[in-house]
Amino acid sequence: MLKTLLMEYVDALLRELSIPARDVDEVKQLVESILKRLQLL
Amino acid sequence: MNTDLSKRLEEAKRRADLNYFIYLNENAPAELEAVKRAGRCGALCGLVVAVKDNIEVAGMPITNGAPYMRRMADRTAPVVRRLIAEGAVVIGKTNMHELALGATNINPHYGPTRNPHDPSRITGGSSGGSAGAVAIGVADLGVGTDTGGSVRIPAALCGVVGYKPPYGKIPTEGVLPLAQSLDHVGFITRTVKELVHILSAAGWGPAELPQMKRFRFAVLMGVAENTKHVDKAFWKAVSVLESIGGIRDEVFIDAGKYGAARAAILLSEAAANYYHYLRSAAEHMGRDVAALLSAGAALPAVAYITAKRVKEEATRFFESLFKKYDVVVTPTTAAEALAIEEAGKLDVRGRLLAYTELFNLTGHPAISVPAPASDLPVGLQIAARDEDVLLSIAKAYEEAL
Repeated sequence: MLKTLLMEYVDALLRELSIPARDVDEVKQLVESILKRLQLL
Repeated sequence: MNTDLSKRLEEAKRRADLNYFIYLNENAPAELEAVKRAGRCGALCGLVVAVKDNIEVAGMPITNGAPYMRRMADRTAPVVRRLIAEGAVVIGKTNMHELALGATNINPHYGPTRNPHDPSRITGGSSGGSAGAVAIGVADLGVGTDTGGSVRIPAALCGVVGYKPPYGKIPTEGVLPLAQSLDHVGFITRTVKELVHILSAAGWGPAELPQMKRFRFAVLMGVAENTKHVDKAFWKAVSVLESIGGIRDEVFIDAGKYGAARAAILLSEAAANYYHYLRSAAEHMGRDVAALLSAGAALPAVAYITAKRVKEEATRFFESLFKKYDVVVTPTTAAEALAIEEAGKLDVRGRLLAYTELFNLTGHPAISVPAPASDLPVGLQIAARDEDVLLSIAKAYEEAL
């Protein structure tokens, strides 16, 4: 739930700022890896 | 002993279920008496102030809504010092959204602040404790911070007045930062009349406001989808503005990019400010806060710099709008106070932040005043280029209600 909401949020804000889709995916992967490292997932 | 202050302290304790205070200043009555005895009580003598717990007051603890940051403050922020110099007294430090990074005021460490009109609902935040304390009459003035609407949102949901002066006007020294490009210090009162008096007495506003017999205002459209309850109260408030000489237009804006820019700046700067805590104390943080800081840490510089350019673009856009209109108006929030359970689960940005965050991005002054609503309170947001014009129209609106 937390991850889904956060990813939707990050996705929407980066796309609004015209960041290319491939770069958005890379950012989301990085977010996920930080969340895992901090044991938030 | 000041009996009124003692009664206020008693009332704060009696309403402890609402969770407005992290720290109560039991010495407040004695402090006020000492100032009076010394003949140093000024224009705000006896004004009772509730200070958000991300603002330093010497001799009191400060937590930023996060127990892992708790320490004793050894200095007083200039904004509070100015009020105290005029005879105001700090009654306590108020509960807030953890790190001020959120608009619900559901704090996992100190509990949610509960709405004075319905305790099963949120006060909004992140200055929710300050707004609540003013709403129930424990404080005359709430001092808070506003990075996306954190003064105006809880003021709207609690039925009081919330004012965000222009960016940079009130010093942020002694205030824990969230996102320096967007952070403002702001004030919460029960009425615009009281607000104007306090600003003037503290030297932050003029002794007299201009008279605005006719003025042009724009209703911003297309920003968010309002609930029916908000819509009804908002359009009644618009009618009141027309009745006091306002000439209305409607202006559609595409606010999606502005909201995204505000969020990118917020998350990037907040992550930089709290990176150390994220790395060393994530397990002690609320999950929502840790997740948002993680997202901020991952955002690329390209997103941050693009967002800063959009911020400049938004400022230019509103500057051009303010050449045509004296003020622009919106509902303060798109929804009334949400149930605490519901607010913890949903993405609340669109419901709570969409209107207020515009003026954190541009830095223009903006105020939330109660709109005519039955049942749960609704706020009318008024923004302007000129602070005195804004306050004059808000005061006239209040008098006409």
